[in-house]
Amino acid sequence: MTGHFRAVAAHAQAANKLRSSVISGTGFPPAIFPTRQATIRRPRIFPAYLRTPVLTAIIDARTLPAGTVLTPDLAIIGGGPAGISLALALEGSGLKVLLLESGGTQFNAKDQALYAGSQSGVAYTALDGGRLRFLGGGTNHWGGWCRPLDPIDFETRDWVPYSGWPFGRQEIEPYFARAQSLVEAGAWIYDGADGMVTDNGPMLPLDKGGVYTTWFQFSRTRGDILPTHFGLRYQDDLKRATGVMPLFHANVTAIRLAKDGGHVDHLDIATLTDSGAAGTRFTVKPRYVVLACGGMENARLLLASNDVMKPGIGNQNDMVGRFFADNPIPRDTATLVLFAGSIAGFYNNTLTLPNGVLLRAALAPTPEFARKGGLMGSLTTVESPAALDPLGVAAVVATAQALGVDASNAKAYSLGCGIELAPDPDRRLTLTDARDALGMPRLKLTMTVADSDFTHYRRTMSELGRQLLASRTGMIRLTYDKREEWLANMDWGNHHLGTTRMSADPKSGVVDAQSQVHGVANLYVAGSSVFPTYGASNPTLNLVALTLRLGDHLKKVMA
Amino acid sequence: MTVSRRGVAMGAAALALLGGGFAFNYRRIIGPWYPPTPYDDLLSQIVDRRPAATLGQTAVRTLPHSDAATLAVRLRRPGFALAERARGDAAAGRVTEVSGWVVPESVAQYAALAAQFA
Repeated sequence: MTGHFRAVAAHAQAANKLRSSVISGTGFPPAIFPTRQATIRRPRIFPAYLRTPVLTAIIDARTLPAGTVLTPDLAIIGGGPAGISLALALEGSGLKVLLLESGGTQFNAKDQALYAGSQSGVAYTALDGGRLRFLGGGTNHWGGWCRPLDPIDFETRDWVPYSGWPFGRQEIEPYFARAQSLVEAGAWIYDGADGMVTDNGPMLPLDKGGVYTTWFQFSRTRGDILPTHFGLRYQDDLKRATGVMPLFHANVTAIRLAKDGGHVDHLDIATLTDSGAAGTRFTVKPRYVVLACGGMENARLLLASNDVMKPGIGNQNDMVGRFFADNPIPRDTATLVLFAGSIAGFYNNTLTLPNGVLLRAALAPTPEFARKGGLMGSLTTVESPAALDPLGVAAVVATAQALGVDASNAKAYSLGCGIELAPDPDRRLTLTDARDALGMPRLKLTMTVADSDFTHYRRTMSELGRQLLASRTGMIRLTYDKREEWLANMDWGNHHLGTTRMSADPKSGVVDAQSQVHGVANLYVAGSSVFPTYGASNPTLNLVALTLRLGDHLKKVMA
Repeated sequence: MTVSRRGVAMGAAALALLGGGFAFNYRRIIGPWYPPTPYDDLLSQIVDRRPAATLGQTAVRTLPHSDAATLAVRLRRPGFALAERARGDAAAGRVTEVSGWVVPESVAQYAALAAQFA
């Protein structure tokens, strides 16, 4: 992988030389990109604003002269999974798409430092620790876990304040197949796996009840790359994509609205020098803009762009930055004991099917159980073998004997999980007086977790324990009871969700059902920041599907 | 070396005493033995009272009304052996937590009773 990155860097260096020579008019070197030559095109699509050549392939923004004005049809801000998926989806649409990426193809500490911020409340990953500011964004450190959101995740649940998407899951289902292809998780199987794994061991025999076995799939292993890093995987596709121009090292520092506030007029762009100081500044004046730079940065850019709309763009109802969410993944939440011994390997490891699909079983509350109990979503995985203390041994022996079951071969496993947090308007991102190297206000995160977020999960695990007992197959120990115990053993998925939430009503959201910022005609938001409720599934597959839906919408409105 | 008749007799008597003592206490020596209680009809359903008592020491602290008399009233329901009662509790959602362990209510109650007569 490192070798590949080196090759990409050399490639980019050569490409930048090409760009310099084109812009300075010193000539037109031989083609560097074998399938798509860098060219200067006559201004045909947007002649009024065109002051610099429309370049194909990847460009380093640091090579553009200060004061340059680029005039694409669509500017996508952010080269993470949403931005890359959208750019590729619009290839061949006839639209000129500019993909603005703050970083390059590799991690750079000075770019990353632009993410730093402060926080209060419940301990959480540092703001520059849970995301990555270079091509591919969060997929440069994701785990490849894929699972579609459940239909219940989209519903307005009367026990979940602020819940409900403006549409059901059926609205994004047509896009799952393409999203699955982009994340390279293989054939769409998921909960169809029940009947496909019988040769690999028995499913956990659970009595009828509120918890069932469900399935993750994984972004595929390719050589030494696990899982798919969107930047590495798709940069060549971006170079080749007709009508798509990726612009690296281009930081959007403000979204400038027209005076009436009804549409975006232009974007302010700044580069960062090698020393980490502000470099050149120039302008992008697109017809449409899609903000796709992650759940934190999307909110930051909207809040900081406050010259026309004083509270920030889309923030007329004080919703931008609120409802921040993540999936807590506390460690060792429970101990599972199986009286008969080992669990099937697909519960605590990935199983590779003959067609290459990687699967892993998990345990989830059924929609009926969640509705009846007023519970949030969760996905529990079996982790490593565990040892029992004397009380644990006594509990297992006494219970197994009472049930008339032989537990002489019993085995114990620790459980982990991902939990859905309930929406909370006070869990939010705000701007501070501190500024980054480009003059952008830094973020502060106020993090909260409600006690109910833990108690809901405990009730699901207690139900799992009940089902194991009723089927005389095993039992459960819940590890944590007190809030401080949960918090002391907390990890986070670093899934940044909810800060530009989707709602049909501008009073309760930032974007509408088409992901358009309420009241701003040509500004859209892509990514998991638009999720109004979150589910427990990892967001990448779902945000890619939602972004592909946005792509179809843009093709229509921009035609 | 000569062995007196008196010595042989004393040795035999000592062996007899040792054997008698073992025979009297063998359940204490090679297996659990418990003094009689008013609840032996319940406690006799527990296969091994030692692990039950270990679990029960915690259950006593967490169950409401965990005194032996109350527990016995709740457990003395005719027609159900412990195994059926435990399964029935789980099937009906009558489970409780003992130091985090999710167990059928009847198991926790039997264990709590066992702990008081261990």
